[in-house]
Amino acid sequence: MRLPMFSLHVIFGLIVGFMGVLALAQALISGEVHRSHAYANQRLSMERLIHLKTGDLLAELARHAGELGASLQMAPAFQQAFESRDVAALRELMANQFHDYFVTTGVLNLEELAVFDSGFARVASLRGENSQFSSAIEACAPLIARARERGGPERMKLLSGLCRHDGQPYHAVILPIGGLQLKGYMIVVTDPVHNLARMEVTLGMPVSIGLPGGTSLYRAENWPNSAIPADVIVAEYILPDENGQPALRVAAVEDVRPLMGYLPRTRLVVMTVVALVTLAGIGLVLWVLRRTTLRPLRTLTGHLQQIRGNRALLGEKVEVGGGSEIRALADSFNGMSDELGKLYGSLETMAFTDALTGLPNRNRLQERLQHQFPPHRDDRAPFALLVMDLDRFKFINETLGHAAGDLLLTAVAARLAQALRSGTATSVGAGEREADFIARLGGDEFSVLLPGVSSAADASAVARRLTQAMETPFGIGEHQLRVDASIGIVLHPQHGANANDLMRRADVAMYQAKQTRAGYIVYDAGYDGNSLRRLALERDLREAVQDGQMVLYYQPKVDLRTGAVCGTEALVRWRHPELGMVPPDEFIALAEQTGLIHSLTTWVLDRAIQDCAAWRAQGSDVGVSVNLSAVSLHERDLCDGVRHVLERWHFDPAYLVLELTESAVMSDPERAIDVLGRLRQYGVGLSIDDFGTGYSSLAYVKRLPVTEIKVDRSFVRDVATDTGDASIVRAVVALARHRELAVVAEGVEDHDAYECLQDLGCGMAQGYFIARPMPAEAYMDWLAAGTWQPRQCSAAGGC
Amino acid sequence: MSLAARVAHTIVQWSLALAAGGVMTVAHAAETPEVSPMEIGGAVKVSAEEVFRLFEATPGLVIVDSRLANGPSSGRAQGFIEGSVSLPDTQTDCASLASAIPKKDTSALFYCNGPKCGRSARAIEVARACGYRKLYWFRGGFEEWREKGYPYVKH
Repeated sequence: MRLPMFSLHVIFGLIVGFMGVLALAQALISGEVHRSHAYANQRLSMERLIHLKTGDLLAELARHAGELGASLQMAPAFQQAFESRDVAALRELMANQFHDYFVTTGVLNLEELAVFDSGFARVASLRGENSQFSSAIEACAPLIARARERGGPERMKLLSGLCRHDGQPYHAVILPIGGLQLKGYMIVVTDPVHNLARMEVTLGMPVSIGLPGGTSLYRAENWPNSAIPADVIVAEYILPDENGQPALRVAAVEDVRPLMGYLPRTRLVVMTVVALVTLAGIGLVLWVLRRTTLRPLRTLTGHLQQIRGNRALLGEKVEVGGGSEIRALADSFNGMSDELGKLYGSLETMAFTDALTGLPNRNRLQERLQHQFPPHRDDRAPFALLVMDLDRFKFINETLGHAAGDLLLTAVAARLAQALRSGTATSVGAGEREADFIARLGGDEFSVLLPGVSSAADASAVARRLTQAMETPFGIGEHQLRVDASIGIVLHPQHGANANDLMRRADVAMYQAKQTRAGYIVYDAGYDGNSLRRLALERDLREAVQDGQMVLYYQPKVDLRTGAVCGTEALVRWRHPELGMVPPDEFIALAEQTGLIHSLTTWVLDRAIQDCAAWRAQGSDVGVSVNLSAVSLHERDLCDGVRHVLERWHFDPAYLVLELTESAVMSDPERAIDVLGRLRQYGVGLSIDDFGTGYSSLAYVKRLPVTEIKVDRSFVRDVATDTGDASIVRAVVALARHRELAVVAEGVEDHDAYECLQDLGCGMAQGYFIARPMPAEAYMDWLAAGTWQPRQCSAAGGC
Repeated sequence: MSLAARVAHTIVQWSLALAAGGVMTVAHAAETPEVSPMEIGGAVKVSAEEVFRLFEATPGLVIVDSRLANGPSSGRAQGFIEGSVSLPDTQTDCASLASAIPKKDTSALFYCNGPKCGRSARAIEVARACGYRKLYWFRGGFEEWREKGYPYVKH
């Protein structure tokens, strides 16, 4: 059954009220039943009373009639007249009886007197003046018949009964004539109604006497007229005649108003009491209900609503009173709340913690960032946000496996956190500002929030500390991995007014740092364009390799001793249909990150060897150098790929030099040694590019099967004027000589440097001073023209 | 308690009960009115019905009413059997009997008020002593007569 949405209050009130109504109805009904029972009992006792009373009255009537008869026959005149059957005398004597004391005082209403002989033959009879029947024999034939049937002393007994004749009731008494010897019989017939009506006096009730058919023979003056009122009891008794047939109906009424008058009053009192008890019951039930159920329930509901508003309240115990069920409910509720509280706590931890590193995650960072933007602008404190990305993490993950990648990330996270902590502990005023905060954003991205840091210098100091922390290689399994990081820095409020802007711009600065290999960069509005360009490049790079947008430029290497052109470095350029010429700085890192470096390297190698083969076919005795990415070093099929290209163009491996940057080699020296060793077996020349920038371990360099060292342009540019640079170059040359390696100086831009390098014993040079990079055709022309003439060292120059 | 003591105790109790019963019996006899004996030697006891038969079968039957003529509530004045002669027991002796009953072998019926009335019994004893031989005793008396609805005379 579906109940409407009522409160418990209302429902219980209705139930108790309903029970109260039931109780009222029960009281009413039982009152009514009681009343009708009382009526019935009263009627029954009245009937019994009428029965007894009529019996008494009829017996009295019979006695009086008998006495009348006895007094008549006692007279000697009667005895004489009877003996002689003197009818006239008898009638005269009988007539006297109609004036008897009984008759005149109204004790008897005599109708007829008759005298019979002992055989019931009539001797004489005398009717009353008003008598309507012809003879007593006719009137009371059944009674006479009964008297006749008797024998012996029985015949001497007095016999009486009711008779009916023509609808009229009569009372007859048959008495013997003679005391001891039966001489005859005398019949005394009277009107019983007259005598029965006296009941009215003895009973004190109005009496009605009538025939069973309904004809009224007597009715008391105060008998209720017409309709019988409800509060009057009518009781009647039917008197039987001699044959047992109904002869008379005697009825009496009793006004029970005085008797029953108390009933309405009692009923009113009972109803009032029941109503009051019901009301008190409702009140009591509701009170108990409120104490045991409603109030505790309300407390529980209230607490539930509070929890909905504030989850932190989960697990807080609620104390309620009330019934055992309610307390059990509260216990269950507390238990569940406790469990949910713990669950919520762990969920929150899970939601805001990075599972791998244990650092807070991006969500937590977002939350912390939001905290930095309180609703009131005045409260906002400056802060710095750093976003950090590991360089080349993707290929580490791909080549060494995700397990190694995860190990690396964990180690990086630990080191970054440690670096940040140590910095915070030592920095001035650390106690005054909120703690620095590091989070892993996902993948190889980390972010650091520096509350209270307002200057670019302070933020950069932290960034520097972080990059420095990354310098020591990470020992992951058997590998020693060098991981560089690029960090973008934004400052609030200079670089953005909301968390999203700051995050995005920190990303932009980070990409800028990655492209420029600067380590860390503070955001500048100008970078935004760069980042758009970078997105476009990333989008177009894949098509670029296939569509032939890539071109190779060649820059010669000359022998510093002879001035002869002895080598060529192939440099890839991207001729973008919309952006024009794109320098390699911009897209090589992109290719490395997107995995396109493999196809790019393959293409460059193929084209460079093809071009070089063509030059050599035309008589130029030149080799070609091709740059390899650090990523290529980890490709399994690098060696096969190189051999395949060489075989394809029937190219002598001795004329091919593969260049690797120092940092690429040093990121995984063991692997480099292995791969380079195999390449060297084919006879391919190997060169270390940008030597001097990668913090190479000389011990490794000694073990590397390289044929050539290219001194980084940063040492070469000022070699003529900077003695420090000169001594470095000298040392490199000495090392190279000791190991019989060729030494190439990059970035030779002027004659002074050229000569100085000659003086330092450097083997080869490369740079704008000799020739700028140029397309293949132009380079072939340049070779054919033979225009290169090394100029003489100027007077001012010298090392 | 020893057996002898118990027996002695029981005997004492019985003795007390008997003594009390005797006292009660004496007291009862003193309070109750005179009750006629069930039978009287030398007289035939009859019922009301037998009175009729005796009357029919015995011509010359004398019916003697032994009650006082005007007793408080039990005298003859309240009614009597028709034909009876009034001879209260207090006046009954051989002389009065001789005036009422012609011969010694005349049948004579005595009655008084009823079983609780000792007058007829006493009268019969007197009559017997006087030598009357055919004596009938209606022990139920007038009370039985009226009770059974037989006619009686009243002055």
